[in-house]
Amino acid sequence: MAVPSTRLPIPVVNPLPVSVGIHLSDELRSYVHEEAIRNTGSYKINVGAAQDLMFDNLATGLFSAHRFVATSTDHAADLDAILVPTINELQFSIPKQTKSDFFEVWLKYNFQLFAPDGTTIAEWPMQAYGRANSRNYGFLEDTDNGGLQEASRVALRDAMALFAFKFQRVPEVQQWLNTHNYPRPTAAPESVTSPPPSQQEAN
Amino acid sequence: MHRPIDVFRPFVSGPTGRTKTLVTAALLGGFALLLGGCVTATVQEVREASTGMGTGDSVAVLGRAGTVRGAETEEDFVTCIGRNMGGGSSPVAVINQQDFQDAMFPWFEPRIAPIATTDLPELLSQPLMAKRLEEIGLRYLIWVDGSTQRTEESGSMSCTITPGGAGCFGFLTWEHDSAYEASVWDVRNGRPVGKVSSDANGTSFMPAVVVPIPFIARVRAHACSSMANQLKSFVVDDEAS
Repeated sequence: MAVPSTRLPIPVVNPLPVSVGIHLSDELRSYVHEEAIRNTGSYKINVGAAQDLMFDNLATGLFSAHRFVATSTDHAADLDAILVPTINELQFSIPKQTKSDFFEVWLKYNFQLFAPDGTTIAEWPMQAYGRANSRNYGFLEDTDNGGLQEASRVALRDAMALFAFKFQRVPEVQQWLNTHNYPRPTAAPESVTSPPPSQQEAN
Repeated sequence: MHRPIDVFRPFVSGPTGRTKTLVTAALLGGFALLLGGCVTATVQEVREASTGMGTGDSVAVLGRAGTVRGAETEEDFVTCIGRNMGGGSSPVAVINQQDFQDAMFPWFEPRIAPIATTDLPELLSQPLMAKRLEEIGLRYLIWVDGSTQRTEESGSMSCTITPGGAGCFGFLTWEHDSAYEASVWDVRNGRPVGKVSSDANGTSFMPAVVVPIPFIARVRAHACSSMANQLKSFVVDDEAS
């Protein structure tokens, strides 16, 4: 079998026996972070364009069924719940700022899970992290754009990985899954490594 | 200048790298003659079990990942090992790190991947993992840990530009030290089969009398080629055949 090479892959996990609707707002789909760094220039990081593919692939691996819905209140008989992700904040740093070799991106998500009657089942935050080593880029390559692009891609993968492991460990989600006869979470690491603090957190 | 949006990748635009590219291209043109410095490399092998590659078997080469700054193996070193094992005489089938991580997503992502090979048996014995490994035909997982560090530098050089011309005078020297260890894990039998380590160090220097002439010691490249050759014969088990 040829090894799949998609950049935001479908997770290899046991799917949960639930059908979930996913609502991606226009705001999320068009999320762009713009920031100017003194003596360096302006940067524009667009992670919104990757959200459709990211949540489609994530849900394909994680849930037994899923589909995108137009609103968070669009409850149909075939859905057990509706998931609404939002990005609260994106931060990044470049090697010149941290005096290191690394481009880093921190991505703060917030998730809401609604029941068919519109009540909130659970709400939880999640911080994803990605970095890229500037030493991985050749002498003649555009290191700044390439490094930030790679760090952003790694942060999106990290968000998918964390979601896949943490979703069923959110206490309220676990309780809800019990009502769908889901016995216990899939075997997974007991903990994941914490990312280093972002510049703002460190200050 | 904005790049076109690729739906698979976040899109980033920033200051253009064109200026840097032109300057570095000019420098490279001036220093087109790159001569080699001295490199000493040592490779050691510890075998714990016999090995061998069957038809359709492949190996995956992974570098140590981590979220602590500086605690990871350089990506290009891992790529170099894979490329060298997959080329030359008697090549072996190699799954590169990115393809392996995609096939096993999310289990080998930086914040989730096992920190040591001792954590592998539990992970790889899970039915889902075992099935996927069978699908991709993975026989050996090679886990590379280590890095190359610049250990010493000395000397000085000054360059002058005048209306009559430009020139440099001085002498610079610097040393690189590479230390890598590759643990080889037999996925089919669920056990470690051995380790290959590679240590290399070398001194680069650049004398300048008007024109600087760099003598670059390709330490990491030497460490890579010597380790890759040893790993290739290790997994095929040349001595046994």
